[in-house]
Amino acid sequence: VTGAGPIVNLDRLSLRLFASFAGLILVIVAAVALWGEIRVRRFYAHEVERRLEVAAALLIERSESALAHAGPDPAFDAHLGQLGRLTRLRLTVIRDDGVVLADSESPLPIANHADRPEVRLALGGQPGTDQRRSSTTGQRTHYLALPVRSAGRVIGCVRASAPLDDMEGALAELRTSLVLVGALALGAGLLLAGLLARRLASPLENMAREAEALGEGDLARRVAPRGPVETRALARALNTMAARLQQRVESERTARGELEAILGGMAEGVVALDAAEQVLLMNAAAARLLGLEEPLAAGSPLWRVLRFPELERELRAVLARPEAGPGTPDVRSFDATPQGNGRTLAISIAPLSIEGLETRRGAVVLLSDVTTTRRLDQMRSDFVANVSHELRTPLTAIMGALEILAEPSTDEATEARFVEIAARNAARLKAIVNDLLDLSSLEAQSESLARAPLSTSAALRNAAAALAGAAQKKGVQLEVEAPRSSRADVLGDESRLEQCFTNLLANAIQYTPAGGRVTARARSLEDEVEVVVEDTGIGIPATALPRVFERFYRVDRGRGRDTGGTGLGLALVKHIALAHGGRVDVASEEGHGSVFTVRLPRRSEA
Amino acid sequence: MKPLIEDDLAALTRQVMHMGGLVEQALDRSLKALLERDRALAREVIDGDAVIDRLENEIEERCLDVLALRQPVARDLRYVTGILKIDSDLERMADLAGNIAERAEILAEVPPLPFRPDVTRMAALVKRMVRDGLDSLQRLDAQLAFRTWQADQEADRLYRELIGQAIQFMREHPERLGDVMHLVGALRNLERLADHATNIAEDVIFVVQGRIVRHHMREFGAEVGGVRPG
Repeated sequence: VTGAGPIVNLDRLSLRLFASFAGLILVIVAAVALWGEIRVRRFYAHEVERRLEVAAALLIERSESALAHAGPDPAFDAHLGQLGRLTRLRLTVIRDDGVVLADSESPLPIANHADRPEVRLALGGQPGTDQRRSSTTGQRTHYLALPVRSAGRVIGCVRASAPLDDMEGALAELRTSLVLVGALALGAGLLLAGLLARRLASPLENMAREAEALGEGDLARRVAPRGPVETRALARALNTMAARLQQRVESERTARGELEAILGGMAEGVVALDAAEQVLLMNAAAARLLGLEEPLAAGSPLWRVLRFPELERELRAVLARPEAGPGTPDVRSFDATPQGNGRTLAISIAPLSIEGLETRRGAVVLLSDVTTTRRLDQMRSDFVANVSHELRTPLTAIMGALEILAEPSTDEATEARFVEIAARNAARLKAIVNDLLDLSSLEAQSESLARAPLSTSAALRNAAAALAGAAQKKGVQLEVEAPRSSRADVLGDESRLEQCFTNLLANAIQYTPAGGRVTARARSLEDEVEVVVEDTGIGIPATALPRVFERFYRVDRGRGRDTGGTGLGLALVKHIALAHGGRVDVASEEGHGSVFTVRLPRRSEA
Repeated sequence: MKPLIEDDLAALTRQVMHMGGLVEQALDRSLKALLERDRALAREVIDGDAVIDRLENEIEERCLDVLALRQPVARDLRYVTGILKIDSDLERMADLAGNIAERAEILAEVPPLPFRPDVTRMAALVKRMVRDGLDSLQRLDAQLAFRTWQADQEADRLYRELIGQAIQFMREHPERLGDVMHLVGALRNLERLADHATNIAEDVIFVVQGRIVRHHMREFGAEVGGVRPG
C-alpha cells in the first residue's frame, strides 16, 4: 500500500517510548517514596523514643523527692519547665493516683492523667508508650512514661513527650523533593524518548521510502546504512535484494528486448493468440500483412478488427482440437488472401500451450508474403501449359492441311489453299520457336551480347519503317519523333534493339483500333536514352500490368492470338532491355491506351 | 458463474464479422471472376453460398436467444436488433454475389465486352462500400457509416452510366444483345449490393446514435457535418 503519509510515524514512536519511560519512572519514584517514608518514620520514631527514654530516666531521680512530698511544688514545677525548654520535650511528673504534680509546659492544675494508656502502664510498673493527639496541645504526640519507685513500690511516674509534627514536616519535604526528582526524570525521559525515536525511526523511515521506490520499479535506488547495527544490517539486506532484483529485471528486459527485436525485424508475421482469440503478441510484419494500421495490443480480440474467413476457420479448427498429445504439433498450413491488399499469404497455425498458473491453450500464427513466389510458380506452370498450347495450335493446322493434301482427290485450288495454310502455320511455328530461342539465349548469355556504338533513333526509325505497311493496312497513324542526327548514343546489338522496338510498335499497332495513333519518341536524358511508345489503344487493366512482360501472358484468353502475336513479344522487349543494362516500364489506362518506356544506359562520350 | 450479456454480444459480433468476411470474400471473388473471366472462381462463389445461409440462421437464432433470455436494454437492445437486420442484409448480399458469379460464368464463355474500365471502377467502389459498411459495424463508427451511405450516390451514377453505354453498344451490335444482358444483370446485382451496404450503414448509425435515420439521411448528414455529394 502506498500511503501518502510517512511510513514510520515519528510522533507515535516517541510517544510510545516516552510512555514506557514515564511508567518506569513513576513506579520507581513511588517505590522510593513509600520505602523512604516507612524508613523515615521508623527512624524518627526510634530517635524520639530514645530521647524520651533518656530524658525520663534522668528525671526519675529528681522527681523522687517531689513525689515524696505528695503535693504540688512550684519550685519543682519551674525547674521542670526549665528542663523541658532545654530538652525541647514536654516533661510531666504524675503521682500514683494520676494527679499531675508538675508539667514543663502547661500550668497546673491539669486534669487527672491516670487514664492515659502510657501512664496506666507505668503506674503498673512497666514503661509505657503511646502515640496520640494531645488533648492539651492538640498536636500529634509521642508519649513515654517510666515508673518511679521508692522502696520497691511505685510511687508515681515520669512522662516525657515530643510532638511528631517535626517528622511530618520532614516527610513532606522528602515527598516534595521526590516529586521534583520524578518530574525532572520524566522531562529527561521525554527528551530521551524523542532522541531515541528519531535515531531509530529515521533510518527505518529512510529504508521504508527506498523500499517503496524499489517496489515502484526504481531499482537503481540503494539505502545508505545508518543508525544502529540492526538497521544497518537491514539496509544491507535491502540493498542486496535490490541489486539481485535489478539484475534479474535487466536480464529479463534484455531477453524481452532481444525477442522483440527479432520479432520486429522478421519479414514474417507472427501472431500469438489465446483460446478466446485474443492477441498475446503480434509483430509489425503481421499487422502489415493483415492490412492493419498497427499491431494489436495484447488482450484485444482479433475478430474485433479483422475479417478473414479462412484464417478464422483454420484458427478455430486448431483451437477446438482437444489437448495436443505428445509428438509433433498439428500444424495447419494454407494460402489465403486477406481483404484489401491482394497479397497472397502462406499461413501456418500451430497449437500453443502456455505454461502459467494453469496451462492455457492458444495458437501461434505465422504469416509470410508469398505473392511473388506464387506468381513465379504460376508463371512456370503457365509457361509450360502455354508453350505446349502455342506450339500445338499451328502444328494441328499443319497436320490437318497435310492430311488433306495427301488425299489424291484434292483439286488444285484446295491444294493451293492448304499449302498456304501449312506454310503460314509453319512460319508461325518458326516465329515462336525463334522467339523462344532468342529469349533463352538472351537469358543465358546476356554478357556476350554484341556491343557496338549505335543510334537509338536510327534503330527506332528502322523499326517504324518496317511496320509502316502494317500500320497503314490497319488504319493506324504511326508517328516517329526522333532526332535526325544519328549520333551513336548507346552500346549494343543493333539487330536486337531493332527487334525490341519492332515488337513494341507491333504490339501498339495490334491493340490500337483503326483511326487510332501510335507515337514513338526517342530522346536523350542525362545518363539514359529513353524510347517511349505510346498508343491510343484499348489499354491494359491494372491487375494485368505487372504480368504483361511474362511469356505467353495474355490479358484475355484469345486476345492477340487471332491477330498473329506469338505471345512472346513483350517478354523479348523486357529481356533485350535487361541485356543492355536497361529496363522497361508500362503505364496504361484501360480504354485510353498504354505507354511503354524503354530506358537504356547512355554511352559515355569519351 | 452465469455468462454476462457482454459475452453473448461478443460472440454475436464475432459470428456476424465472420459472416461479413465471407460475404466480402464472395463479392471479391465474384467480381474477380467477372473481370478476369474466370469460370472456376465463379463456381466457387456459387457453391459457397450454403455456408452463408446456414450462418444467417444461426445468427438469427442467437439474436432471438439474447433478446428472450437477457432482455437487453438501450444500446444493447439496439445492437441486437441492428444485427438482426444486418444479418438478413448480409444474406441477401451473398445471394447477389452468387448471382454475379452466375453471370460471370456465362460471360467468361463469350468474347469480352468493352466495358471493363467502368465495370472495374464500379466494382472497386462497391467493394469499398461493403468493406466500409462492415468496418463501421465492427468499430461502431457512425462517421464511417455515413460516408458509406454517401458513396451510394456515386455507385448509382456509375450504374446509370454503364447502362447507357450498354444500350448504346446493343444498338451497334445487336448480335451481342444476349451477352450484354448478362452483364447488365450482373451490374444490377452489384448496384443492389451497394444498396444493402447503405442499409448496413443506416443500421450502424441506429445502433450508435439511437436514431432511425433510414430515409432521413440528409438531415443526419448535415448534423454530423458530413460533406454532401454535389
